[in-house]
Amino acid sequence: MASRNPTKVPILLVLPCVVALLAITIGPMIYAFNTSLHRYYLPSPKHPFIGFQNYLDILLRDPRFWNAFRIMIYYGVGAVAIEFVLGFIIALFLNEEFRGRRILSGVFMVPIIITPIVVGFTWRLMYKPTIGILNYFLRSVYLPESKWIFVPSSALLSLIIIDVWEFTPFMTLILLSGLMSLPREPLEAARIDGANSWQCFREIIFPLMKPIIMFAILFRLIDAFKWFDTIYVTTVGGPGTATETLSIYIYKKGLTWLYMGKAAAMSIMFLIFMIVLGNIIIKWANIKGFR
Amino acid sequence: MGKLKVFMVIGIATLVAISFGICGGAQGESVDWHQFAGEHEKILIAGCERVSFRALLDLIPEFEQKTGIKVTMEMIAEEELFTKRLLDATSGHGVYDVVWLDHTVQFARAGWTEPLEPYLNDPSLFDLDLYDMEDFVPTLKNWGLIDGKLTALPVGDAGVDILFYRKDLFEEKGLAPPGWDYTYDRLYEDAVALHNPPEYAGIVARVKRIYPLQWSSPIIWSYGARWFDCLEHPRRTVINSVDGQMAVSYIAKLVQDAAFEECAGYGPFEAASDFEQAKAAMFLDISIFMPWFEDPKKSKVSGKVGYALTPLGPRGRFANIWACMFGMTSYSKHKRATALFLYWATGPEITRRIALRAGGVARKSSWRDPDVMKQFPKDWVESCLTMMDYGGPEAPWPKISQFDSFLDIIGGGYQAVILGEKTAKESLDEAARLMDEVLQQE
Repeated sequence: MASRNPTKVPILLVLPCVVALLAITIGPMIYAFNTSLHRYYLPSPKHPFIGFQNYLDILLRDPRFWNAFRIMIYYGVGAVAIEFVLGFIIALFLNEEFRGRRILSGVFMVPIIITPIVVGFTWRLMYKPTIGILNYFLRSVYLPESKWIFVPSSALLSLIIIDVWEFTPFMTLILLSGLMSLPREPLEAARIDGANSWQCFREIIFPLMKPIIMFAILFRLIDAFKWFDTIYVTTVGGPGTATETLSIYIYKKGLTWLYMGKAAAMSIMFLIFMIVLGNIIIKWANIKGFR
Repeated sequence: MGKLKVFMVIGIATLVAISFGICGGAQGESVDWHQFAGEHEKILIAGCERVSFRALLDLIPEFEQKTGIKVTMEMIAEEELFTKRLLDATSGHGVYDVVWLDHTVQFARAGWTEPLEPYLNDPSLFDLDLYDMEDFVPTLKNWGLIDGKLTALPVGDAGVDILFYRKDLFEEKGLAPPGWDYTYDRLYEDAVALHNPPEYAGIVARVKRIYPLQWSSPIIWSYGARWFDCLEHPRRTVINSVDGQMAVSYIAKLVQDAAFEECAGYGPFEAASDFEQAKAAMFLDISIFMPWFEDPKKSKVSGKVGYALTPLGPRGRFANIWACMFGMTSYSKHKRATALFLYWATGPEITRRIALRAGGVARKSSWRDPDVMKQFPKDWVESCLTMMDYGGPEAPWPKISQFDSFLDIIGGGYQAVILGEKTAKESLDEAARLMDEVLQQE
């Protein structure tokens, strides 16, 4: 009797958790999809069903959506590329034994424990061209000053700098934990055979780290694409629409201009894009031996 | 003995009536301040973190003692307040009885604020003789009147567009200070003459996307341009008229030639802090910034700022006038108690006491109060009082629900011209087209 339904008890035990998870993820997603099929202007009492009209309007008649999409790609790819290179260098450095390594590791991690809103406000003050501290330092060493986030030409790069400052430690953390988990024997054997540091990195460390690298890049890329907090606090997508990423545009559409139907449609399209992108990256990683 | 008893009763009754009058309010006031005593009424207010609201917050215990109504006012940062009050109104389970409103139309047309006429017409809640509706600055009183119903009352932080200028820099350059006949052409010439990068700019302005509309509206109107074809329920955007293009071209030229490039990303506080830190010679904006500039502990220009009227344009002189408004929510469960609070908070006496601490308020009598006038720079008070009579034809804002879309689309149109991305005609034609699409959904 005890062996009649061996899987029933574990399923029953896990069920409440799965139901709760579905309720807080799938439920709102279904509601958002339903909202996207209606003309939903919040102050209006009527929300007529319009099918996929919102999707067509956004894809075919909203150049600002495509601008936001483009800015999102530039921001995400730019920030993650720099974070990966810097993060790997720092991880390799911290992987060596030296005096004060633990303290230095702690100091490197400070940016990721600061609230993003605080980061945004602080950088906004530092970036102020006339009285901000960054231009003060540049002036004092006779380097040219910048307008940073206050002009369209440098605003996006300035935001990428903030992102790199804030999330390189996160990338470092993932890569460092990967490095620490690598077997020591292949490296020791290579050194005995006369391999230099670059050869060790290229032929042993990097290939063994591929799964960790893929995870780190995918994770950060998804996060960078949907990033909102510091962008909203520093530029709100400006000047003009120079830093208006898709998440900022969706927020404005829904919670500032109150077009909930259109904002929901953009959110669903954003979700589909992220799922497709994730699958493409994983397939590419499989082909290139990253798994 | 019988007559003595009668006289004693009459005398005691008179004394009691007088003492009730002293405790209750002004002599002859119809309002019953004690009508909610013992009923444990509570009011929750969504307030904004502003100097005038801090002043009101300090006075609230007096109201509580007078009426027995418990009042809680949340002091919320502006950006957060926009979202919070929206969620409260749309949730179906709103908790606020009073909300701070910068723009009254959206809330009124969505049915989220309560028309106030029934309460104004109840003498136990509003003594209209003492309250004196005519004492409000007309533009601000009308701002609460939506589709013929009064839905909000001005409460504080009232401001009007004026010109802030550095008296010392004008003197240094030998320029005549702005006076009654100061024109926008002279403003441009003086701003360019004073422009001294990197030390300071000729003028500072907030050019970040939604912000140009506030300070540039006097310029737009004084060139004869308008945003829309009519004030209430507009059908067509007309900012792209020839007058509109000329006005926006002027604004762009002024900012390009006499302001720092980084103005493109400036909101109100960046622009004001540049002026406060002596990084600009002029600032055309709302009068409520005066306390910042005159604070000797933080401001580098304290005592050096002159306050003048907005300049004259080809079609006259205009100013935008603005104030914080209080609206009663339609879902409030304490409407009569809330009405009594509104009567008290926006009445002449409390408004005067807020003015003593915070400056700009919505009642003319408070501005003209000698104690208020001597607190603040004389030319600031005079400029503000004068400009309140020059309210623009669309002041403070067009009465449309899609106010935030309006700020973004039209403000974005101005910004594109200022940044040199488009000509005035291209940018304003596109802004008008986009805005007309929005209006069709009104």
